[in-house]
Amino acid sequence: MSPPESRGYVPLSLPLGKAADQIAPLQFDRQSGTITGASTAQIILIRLLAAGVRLSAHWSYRGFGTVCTLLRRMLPPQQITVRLNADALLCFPFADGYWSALLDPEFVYEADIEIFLRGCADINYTFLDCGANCGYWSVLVSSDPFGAKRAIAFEPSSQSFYLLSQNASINRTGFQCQKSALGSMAGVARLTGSKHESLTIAGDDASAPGESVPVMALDGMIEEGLVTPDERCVIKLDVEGLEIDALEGGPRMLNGDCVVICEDHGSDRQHTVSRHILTRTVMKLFCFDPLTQRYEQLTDVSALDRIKRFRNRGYNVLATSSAFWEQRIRAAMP
Amino acid sequence: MSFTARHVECLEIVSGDIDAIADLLARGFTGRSRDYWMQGLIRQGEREVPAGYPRYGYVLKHDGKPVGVLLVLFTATDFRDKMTVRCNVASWYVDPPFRGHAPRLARSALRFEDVTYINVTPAVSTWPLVEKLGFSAYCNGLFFALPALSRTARAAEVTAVAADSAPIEGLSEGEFKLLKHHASYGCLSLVVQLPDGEVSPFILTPYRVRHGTIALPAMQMIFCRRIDDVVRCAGGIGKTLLRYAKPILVLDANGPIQGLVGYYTKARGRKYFRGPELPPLADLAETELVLYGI
Repeated sequence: MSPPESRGYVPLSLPLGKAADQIAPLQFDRQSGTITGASTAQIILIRLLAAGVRLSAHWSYRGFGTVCTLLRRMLPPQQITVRLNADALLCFPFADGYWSALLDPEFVYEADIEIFLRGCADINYTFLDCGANCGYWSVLVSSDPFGAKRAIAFEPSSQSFYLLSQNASINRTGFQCQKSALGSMAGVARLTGSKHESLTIAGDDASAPGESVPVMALDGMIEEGLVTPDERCVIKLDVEGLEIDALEGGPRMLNGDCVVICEDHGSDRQHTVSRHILTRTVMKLFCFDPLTQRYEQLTDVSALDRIKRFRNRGYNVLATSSAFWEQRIRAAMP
Repeated sequence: MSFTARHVECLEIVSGDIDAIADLLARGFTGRSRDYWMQGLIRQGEREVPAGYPRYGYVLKHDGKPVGVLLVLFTATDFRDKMTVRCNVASWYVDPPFRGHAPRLARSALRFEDVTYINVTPAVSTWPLVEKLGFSAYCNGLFFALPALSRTARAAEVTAVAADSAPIEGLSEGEFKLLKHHASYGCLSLVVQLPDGEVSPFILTPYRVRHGTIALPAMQMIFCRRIDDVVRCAGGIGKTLLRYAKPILVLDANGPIQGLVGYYTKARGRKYFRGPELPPLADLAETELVLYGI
């Protein structure tokens, strides 16, 4: 991680509200499969992209992003709005290499997280979406089918933050946006990378092309008054290699009534994040096991050798020290 | 108007009660004979029960006669390297005039806070009641697999364990005892040794439907260490099951199982638990499914 350039942290919040004019006219409804506001060529492209998602699913979507990137270069810049459910809209660039998978109605993004969060629709909690990208999970969690929870989304990249803010404003319930990265302490760091889904502040090269971004620690959320110390929270950490730093910055939060959804990437065969949680924290660790179709408690990382099948994919583990959340995790099933 | 108070006692079942309990259960559960209940109660009388826990369960008595019963099977189990006590809450019946006293049976049985309770045969009509008692589903259905079609572990060495078999290397003392014990109940206890030398224990029992009256060409998995073991050893298990003319393997599942050919259904097989430990799937050892039969 680049050393923080200063300790100053300036949160950037956007007002909430409806902004129908920001909804891209090109729309796709995942539930019905209908396309509106599209030319014939766009309809064909959307169907082809959906077919591409389904086909590439056989080899873990490898190559799909590259095809999309090439396609985007040939198309004029344009956005698409995807209706995720009756109460959730998500805008992103048309033919985006990461989010275009949503154009296949059969595709379920991070199904394990969806199972858990759907199972929590009946309880009151605040969703802290750290590394929110364009806000997929914040949009969903703040929608009716997920219990319309209060959500705060953190995203350091200016480009993704623009989309995030847009997605916050086009949805009925909306959510709060903070332009910030997560780290072990508050400060400023250099955000680098070429793909929006993998931008990171975890490099040492201060001269690398990128942007300076504010960094906050998890416990800083209490200090900033974003959450109260006893607030029931779900923290989603997808901070591109800085998960351990982020965990180290939140001893107060992690000892409270919270559960952390933490990425443990398929390329990390040492399962560093899970190992850290098991050996350096008091939290219990759970992972969704595709064989049993439920969350299983991990007492060591050996089961992850089997569960993390694909090196190009992110996997999630859930960690908590709260008996309440432990019970909810164990009860989460499709 | 006058009321006659019914004096009903809730007591722990003792061995002297079992004849009357068998009569009561045969009366309450149509389709199950008195012999069926007697065989299970005798097995309950002979099995090992952790100290301090009831052997049979609880009975409601009115004028000294049983009018309600709840059977429980407490087992000390080595769960993820720590000893825990598990209790299978089984057959619960109360004569209609005394139904208002039924919760007393549940309260008596569920009073141990450190125990993980399981209900492995909840009738659909009782699901809301079971959930009201604090139980959560841990298994939503069954997977009917054809393990012989699996390409894994066809070259594995499969050994059947009998009640008098000699110890097998690679199994813990507890696992070997469990295999032998279940073989004595009529279960098929298998040990599969993979070509890489890894040894995995399995216990299976014939799968029946309609109160045990219809035997399907299927065996239900009663014990395995992990579902992963079943997937890895499926070829070997499948070959063995073919010899018993039971090509279908029935497994606890929450969805289709990757690596096995078969069919998943939610229509059967829901199971509940309450307590500190989430029970593993396909661990039904020492439950009513074994002691009483499916």
